[in-house]
Amino acid sequence: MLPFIYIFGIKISMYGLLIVLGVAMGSAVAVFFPSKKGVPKQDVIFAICYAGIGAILGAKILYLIVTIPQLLNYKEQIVFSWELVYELIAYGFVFYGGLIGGVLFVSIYALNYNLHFFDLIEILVPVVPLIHSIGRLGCFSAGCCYGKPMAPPFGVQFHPESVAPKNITLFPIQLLESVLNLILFIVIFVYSRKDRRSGQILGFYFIGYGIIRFILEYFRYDVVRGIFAGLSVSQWISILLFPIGLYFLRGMKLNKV
Amino acid sequence: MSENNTQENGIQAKSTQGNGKATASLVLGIIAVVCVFFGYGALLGIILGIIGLVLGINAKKAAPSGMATAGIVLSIIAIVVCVIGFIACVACVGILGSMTKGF
Repeated sequence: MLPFIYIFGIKISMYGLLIVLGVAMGSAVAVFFPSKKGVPKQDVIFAICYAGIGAILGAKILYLIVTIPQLLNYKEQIVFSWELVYELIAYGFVFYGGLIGGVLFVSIYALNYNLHFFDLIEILVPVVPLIHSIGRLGCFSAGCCYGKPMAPPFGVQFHPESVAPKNITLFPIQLLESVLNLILFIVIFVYSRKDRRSGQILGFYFIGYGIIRFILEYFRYDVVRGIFAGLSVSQWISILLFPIGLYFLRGMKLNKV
Repeated sequence: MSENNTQENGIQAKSTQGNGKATASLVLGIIAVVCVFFGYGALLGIILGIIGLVLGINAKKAAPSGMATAGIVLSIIAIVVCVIGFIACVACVGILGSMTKGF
């Protein structure tokens, strides 16, 4: 639960470290155990790079979309500085934005280099919950994305250096989401071992994670939820993903897209 | 004969273009790695790293070369160091706190 560790006197955020560890593990699984045979390893690695770029941009853009209207409420109090711009860019990411950005950038890669989008996406999708699972441990360390106040033993007190509220015990929903993502990874990984029709693995993930996220959102307590009509932005996206997932789960008629 | 020449010219043009991109990727990768050690320069580092990575991949696909590989590797290192050192999942409360400080 340490937000920072010190290596040779250098302060390193556990959040960033665990995200990188998650991406490294996920990439290794995608490269060495691909669900689709015949895609060159180099293309898998490059597609991961594109997905990473898309994920960073998408997660940031969605965070800004959700946050800026809330920040505008405080516009009289805001003092412009480069530090502020830096913090706006460096702090805060929304997973769903990353997912959308990642998928979009993989499609750009596939289009640019004449590869089949679903061949690439079905290698990468099974490892997304693995990366997410390790990333949520990073959230737990940083004290962000926390759950509702709860008495021990289900509630925990976060580290004083973390961003979680002090002097209150909170439900560690990050750990629950991490475990559920790990289970989802195992299920999708096994599911992807058999020859599936194009889009089925993506559809399975959209539905599986959509359900998990929709339910877990009710237990979240962090401030930036972006609530619209009683539901959070992530819940709205989960609802949207469900029919899209169902469509893909049926399998595309054409094997090559 | 002329068809062969056209084909060779096409391959050469592609290779030259790939070389230019590989050089650009390597240069951006080096600058990005240097930037990550200078506080707010990390932001510039991550941007240059992303551009360097895309150019490196493009160059490697057009005409594989050691320079393109070096550009890709350096850009990835720069992005990874930025992510570890500077990106934090901090709730908006923190940002609001820093924005309104002084009040």
